[in-house]
Amino acid sequence: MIRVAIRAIAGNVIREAIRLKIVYVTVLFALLLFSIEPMIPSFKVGLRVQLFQDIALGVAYIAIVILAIALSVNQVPSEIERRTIYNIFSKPVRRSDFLIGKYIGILAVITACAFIMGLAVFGFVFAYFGKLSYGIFQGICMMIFEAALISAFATLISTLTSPIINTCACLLFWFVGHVKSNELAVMLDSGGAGRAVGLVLKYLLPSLDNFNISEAVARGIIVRPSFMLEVLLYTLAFSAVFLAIASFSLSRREL
Amino acid sequence: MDTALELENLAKTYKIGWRGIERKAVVDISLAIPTGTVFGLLGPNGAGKTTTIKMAVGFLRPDSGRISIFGQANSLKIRSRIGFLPEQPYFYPHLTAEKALDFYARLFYIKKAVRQERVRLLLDTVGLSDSANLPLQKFSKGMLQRFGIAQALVNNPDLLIVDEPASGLDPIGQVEIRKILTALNAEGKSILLSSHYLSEVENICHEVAIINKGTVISRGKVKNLLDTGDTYAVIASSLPTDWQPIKLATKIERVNGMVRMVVEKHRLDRAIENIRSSGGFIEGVHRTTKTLEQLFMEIIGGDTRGN
Ligand SMILES: Nc1ncnc2c1ncn2[C@@H]1O[C@H](COP(=O)(O)OP(=O)(O)OP(=O)(O)O)[C@@H](O)[C@H]1O
Ligand SMILES: [Mg+2]
Repeated sequence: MIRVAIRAIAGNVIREAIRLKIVYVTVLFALLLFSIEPMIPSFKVGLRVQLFQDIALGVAYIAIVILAIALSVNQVPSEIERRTIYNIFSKPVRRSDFLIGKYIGILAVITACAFIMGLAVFGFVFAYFGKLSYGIFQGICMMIFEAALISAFATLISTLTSPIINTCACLLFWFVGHVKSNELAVMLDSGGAGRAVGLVLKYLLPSLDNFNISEAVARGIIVRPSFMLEVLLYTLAFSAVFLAIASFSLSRREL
Repeated sequence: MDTALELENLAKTYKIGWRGIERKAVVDISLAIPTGTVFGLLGPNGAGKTTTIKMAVGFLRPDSGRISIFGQANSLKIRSRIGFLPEQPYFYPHLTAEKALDFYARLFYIKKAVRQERVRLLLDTVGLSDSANLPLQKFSKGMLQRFGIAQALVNNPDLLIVDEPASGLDPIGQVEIRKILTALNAEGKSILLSSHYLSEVENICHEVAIINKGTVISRGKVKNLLDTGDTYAVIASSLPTDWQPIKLATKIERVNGMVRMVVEKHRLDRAIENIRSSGGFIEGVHRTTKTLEQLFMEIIGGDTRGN
């Protein structure tokens, strides 16, 4: 049972997001791209379902990552800047509950948007190719997990610094998270600084590459549910750590 | 008598920027608010009122000193007994008054059935029933301030802390806020309020502390702080041109054919008699209250600017 205060704060995030243009713009833009995709010249040569799905899911993925960052970086700073935070922490609200509420709200919005896009891709694939590609939803789920991790990271950084720096930090986090395991091996084998960076990447930051199953989806392979569960637990563990550090950081902060 | 809020030797220095330049905001502030009383924190801009209040509510950690609320340290449990109205409050602009109040009530874990009733009652208390469904961004400053008070009362607090509740309001708005606070005190709530106008608080505060540059420079009942040199103004019209004012009037001003004569209390009767016997018409008589600024001039010789 989620505490009332957390639900209230999450509900507010959702309400606010419904008013935000970026949510609509991002989702509509993605939908637009899906619909014009078949007009790309190379498609005319051979309208291949794999390629279509691959590109469409790629667009959805970018939209989801953008949304995760855009929705997360400003939640805490705007409450502090607008001084609405005084009406929250003067009440019996734990700083961790505040952050968890924000986080749940962000995830709810991302999940809704991701499923709209997933449904659209699914619908287009069916319309163009007459194929029911259920793997699309697996791919979308994994994207939501990855967005959840990025959002938790952004929430943590948002307790420390401005939205702009935070956005840069998130992009770096995303980039570094996608360092492939073979590149990591090279780093760990090298000496000195390279090895140190490699160790941090390996043990401190989550590997986001696990989340990418687009190849499998494109090929129509259904991923094992146990693998999805593993990735989900991985996401939850890292998010919990990020949010715990965020709570500590926010409770240290003077307002 | 129990104390609702007790501050002991609070001190707070802000560190600004990455170089940590220090800025003393509160140097040494002690005060105790007996339960059921209204306490006024008075001081010029930058005196340290907001900093003191923020420490009391728990937004800032004091460098030193002790804060106790109903005899305990600040905690979630204690905060459920406090209502707080920040300086220049701001709320989620797109929410309606009703939705926003409901949101704040949920932060206190108030049950839905109780909440609906409470929200309606509060909007009524602060005179916003007609605007219950209006988004807060459409509220005037005075309405927002009243909403802020409603928001601070959503948990029916025992201690209400309000930072300049009447700032930026017109005289009618100020009177309304005062009325609301007086009524709340009559219900038994303890109130800490800050202001830089003595006139704003003198009728509702049982006691005030005047602070400047982060220290308490004077403390006591408002009446006592003002009683020295109590004067009255008599405003009169239709006075003949050869009218002679009484000797020893403190001040005489003439504006648009009217005369405003300020006299000390024991000369008031004589001043009124003087005007009547000269054939003048008395438009009004009122006590001239010292402004906080005047009091400051006396107490600290005009040195009111913060550091
Ligand atoms: N966040 C802050 N960082 C640095 N200095 C601050 C901060 N807030 C306040 N100060 C400084 O602390 C001093 C006291 O400020 P404070 O806001 O407590 O005064 P105040 O009595 O509430 O004034 P006012 O009547 O203008 O609201 C001022 O010198 C102010 O510049
Ligand atoms: Mg202030």
